[in-house]
Amino acid sequence: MKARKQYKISNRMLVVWLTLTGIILLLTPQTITGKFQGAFTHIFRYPLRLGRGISLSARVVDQPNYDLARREIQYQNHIANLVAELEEKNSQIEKLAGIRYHQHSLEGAALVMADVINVNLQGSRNEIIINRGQSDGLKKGQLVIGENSIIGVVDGLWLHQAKVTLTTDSSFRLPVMVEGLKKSVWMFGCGSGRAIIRWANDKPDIGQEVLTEKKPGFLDCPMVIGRVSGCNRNADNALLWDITVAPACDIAMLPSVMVIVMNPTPKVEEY
Amino acid sequence: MQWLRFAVLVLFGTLLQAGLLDAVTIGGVKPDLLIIFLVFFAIYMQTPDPASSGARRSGGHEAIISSFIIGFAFDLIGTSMGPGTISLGLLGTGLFYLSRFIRLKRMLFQTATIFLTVLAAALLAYPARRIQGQPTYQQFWGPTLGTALYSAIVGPFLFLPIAWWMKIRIHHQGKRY
Repeated sequence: MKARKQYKISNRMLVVWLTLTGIILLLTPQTITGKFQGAFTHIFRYPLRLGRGISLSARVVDQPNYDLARREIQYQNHIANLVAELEEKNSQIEKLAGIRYHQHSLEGAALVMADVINVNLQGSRNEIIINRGQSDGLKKGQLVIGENSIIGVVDGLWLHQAKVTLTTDSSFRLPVMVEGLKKSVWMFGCGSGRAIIRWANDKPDIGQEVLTEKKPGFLDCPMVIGRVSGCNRNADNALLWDITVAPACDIAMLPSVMVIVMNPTPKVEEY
Repeated sequence: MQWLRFAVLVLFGTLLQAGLLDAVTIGGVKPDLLIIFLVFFAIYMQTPDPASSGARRSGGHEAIISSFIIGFAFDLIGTSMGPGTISLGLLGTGLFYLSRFIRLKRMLFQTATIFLTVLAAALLAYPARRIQGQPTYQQFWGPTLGTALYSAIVGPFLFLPIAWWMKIRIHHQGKRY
């Protein structure tokens, strides 16, 4: 009987094969490879949630006035939203004088409450995974609220989970308004829990609210997105300012968030 | 190589990295457990080759495969698939060959190795992420250096429990564990 031939793979060949596998993964569209990541977070959602719960409670112990501080942030953001809403109403009344308009900023929208499964705020990648997905009526581009402020946008969707790209993620960009600046400006996420507004004409005050612009189909009224945390002269043009923006709440400590679903179907669960 | 134990270890490390490790964040930076694992396996996968009475060493297959698996796990909890698999796979392989010529079993060397590996992994993954059309990082060096330093300090202390779990005998400051 003929002996079975044994194949021996050299280390070099093994490295080449595995590197090629990595390159195939790299060049495969993210819509496909994202399913691997989605499957991982779905399968291990309970240990991930448990780990996050423990790390959250460890951080809460470090901050004795955590609840008070959280409430304060909520109210500050709520006041900022109301002020923005009021200003929006005034401008609308001015523009549409005589025309009846009774729309509330989130009227006609459903708020889908979602628990945060996982948070990543390290480096350039700032995102959270939530336990709501396509089956809950979520769609890409929908804005996400945390502590009454906009914290990000739904970016990746699975059946029961979604990935929210935070406003501080390096891929994030959104037109915003800052009181004191005459026109709207682009805010870019720059990772590590910060965002930046480049080439602003004027210098706003530190602590000034940064508001999102209206986004038809996603948001009917400006909402607070962050606060000015620093202003520096632009390196290329000393006449312009680079404004650093900090999120309006501590995203790492958020136990749950809400997704704004405009014009929801009746299936969507409302809170 | 005990692959079942390895799988459990990598899975445990990946889950810790994705969630629980946020509890030990200092200044927004946490240690990179998977890179610590990578360095461990690259250093301690050297086994005496019976064919050459212990003079030459083997264990290459295990070190290479474990490096790429750790890279894959790194990608699973990362932004995209691919950059980690390639960068950590190649780095682990390189470290394995390097450790044939340089003894990396002293704690100070291990600290330096982890530090440099974290930096190298971030730098290697950078062009791969650019290929995928991801934006340039405006805050690249700060968090990367922080993670490298934190991992380098914590890493060598984790080698003992890892070695115990993997049933690998390591020599440490004259003692045998």
